[in-house]
Amino acid sequence: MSASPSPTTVAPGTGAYLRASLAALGSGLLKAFNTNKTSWIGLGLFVTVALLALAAPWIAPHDPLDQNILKRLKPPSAEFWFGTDAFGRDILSRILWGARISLVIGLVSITIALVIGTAIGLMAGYFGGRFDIIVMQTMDVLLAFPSLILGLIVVAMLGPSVTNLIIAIALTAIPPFARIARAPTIVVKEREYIEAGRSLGYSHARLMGGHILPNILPEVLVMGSLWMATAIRVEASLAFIGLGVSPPTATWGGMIREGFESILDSFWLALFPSLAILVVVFALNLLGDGLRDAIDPRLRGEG
Amino acid sequence: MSGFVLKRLGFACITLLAVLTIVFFIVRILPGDPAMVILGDQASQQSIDALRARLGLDVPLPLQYVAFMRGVFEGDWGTSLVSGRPVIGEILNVLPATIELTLAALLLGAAIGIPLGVWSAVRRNTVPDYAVRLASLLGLSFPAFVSAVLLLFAFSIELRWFPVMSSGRGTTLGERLNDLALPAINLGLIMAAYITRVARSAMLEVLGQDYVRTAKAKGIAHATIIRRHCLRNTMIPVVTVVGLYLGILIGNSVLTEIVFNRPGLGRLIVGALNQRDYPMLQGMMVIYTLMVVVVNLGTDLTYGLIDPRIKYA
Repeated sequence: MSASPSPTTVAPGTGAYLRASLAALGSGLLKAFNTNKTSWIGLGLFVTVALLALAAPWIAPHDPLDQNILKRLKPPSAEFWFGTDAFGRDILSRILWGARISLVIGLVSITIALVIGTAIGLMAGYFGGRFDIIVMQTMDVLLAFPSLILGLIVVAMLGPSVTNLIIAIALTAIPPFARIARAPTIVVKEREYIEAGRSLGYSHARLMGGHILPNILPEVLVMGSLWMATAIRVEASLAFIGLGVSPPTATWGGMIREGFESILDSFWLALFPSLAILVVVFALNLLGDGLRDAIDPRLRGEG
Repeated sequence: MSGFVLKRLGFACITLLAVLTIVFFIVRILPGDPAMVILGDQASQQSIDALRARLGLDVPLPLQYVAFMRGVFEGDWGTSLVSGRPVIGEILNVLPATIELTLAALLLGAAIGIPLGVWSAVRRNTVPDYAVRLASLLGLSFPAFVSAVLLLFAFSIELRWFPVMSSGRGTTLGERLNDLALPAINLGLIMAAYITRVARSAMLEVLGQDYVRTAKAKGIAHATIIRRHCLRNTMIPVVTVVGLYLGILIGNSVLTEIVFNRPGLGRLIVGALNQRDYPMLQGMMVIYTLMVVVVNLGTDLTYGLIDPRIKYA
């Protein structure tokens, strides 16, 4: 155990309390990381991809939109590491720029879903009763509906743009976060310090936000990384179907869609963006899966 | 048992009504007048009004709702704007192909996933366990269209074992199986990845139970404990979770059908999206809702069959 003051020993509502909560969250996550070393690999891979995406304007060897009819469908070479597509555009540069789209859509949509879903689940678990039943039944119904189909229809009707893709994917990811947040809330709300806070006359909002939330956050954040993997996969799938950010903007799913048409003679068009998606999604799954095992109370202290 | 069945049936009906209501509003709430979207900006007011009347959008919302609900249950799901044929007929036409694919994939996924997951749990924290866990994590990281493209490339184009286009209309059993093989393998491997993980964690849970320790203490052979005492209890979460994964299965089947150019709901929905065929889209959402509700009900009832304790619930 770390020596930092735990949130339960510091007076709630003070700056020290907030710092202690954050420190506890940080050390909790760090411990989870060290319990399961594969999480580090996942994190490392993901951070690498994120840095490459951030640096795309400086490190991309060519302009991702620059067409060159004389150099179309060139196989991988020293000049074009991953080859060129049917318009003579550099595939490596397009993958680097495409990473930005995938990561932004994944990150923003899951952040929105995480915030809204956690709020819903927290309230449902905290208030309980009929409110809980109605809210969670609705979430279960939404959860049952195929998310790709829902995303497909929402994007088809709103039109394919980064904002609309974010809305569509966030919508489909709210129910799982509500479920994830609700389960630990029910456990935590019965603890003594919540009881103490209640008898001190704290408001519901204060109890939920200041005292329950920090305790359920690790579980929610871990699910965040797993769902970001799903979000990136869904975005690529939508782009593959033709509902991604409109061309000529480079998106991984869109590149595979174009590459699929000429897969018979130019396999590299579809191969490299496929690998890119696989690396990112696998990295996030590795990260989230390892952390989940580490913080899952049922698995704690075993094996 | 009958009380349990009735209760689940009642709940399934409520869920069905709730989701159908959501479907009704999704199609109508989203911005853009369908009639205007279909006909374009240049269309005259007259033709827009005519199409609105044809789609039933000219009557007040509550009346539309009643008409929609009645239509769903009477089998009148509207007429496709593209083909002019009844939506329900078009859907029922391709539904068998999709069900064939998803069932084959589920069978394959269970046949690979359950033994692998159980084996991995029994050999916990050994090399085989790590290998299975890593492989299953990789398997569920594959977007279905990426794995489909890779399989198509390897087995249809390079090795030429299977047709590039599966017609799904083969007449003999051999032809049908040949058409089905690659799409089913694609979808089945992804499902296997999910099922392996569920089976593994379910088995681990069971292995930690007191009665397993008791059985061990009694000196019962390891293999017998696994077979007689653990497997059946492992199946309960596996069945539930497979039911929950129906959404993933459906989404992946859409992508698989597109890559392998196989007739089915997937190609129908993408066609309807491109053509802005609103009645067809609404019909597709209704059929997906029905599938989800029916499978959830089936999952709940299977539960009762596997786990005798649930009978009196």
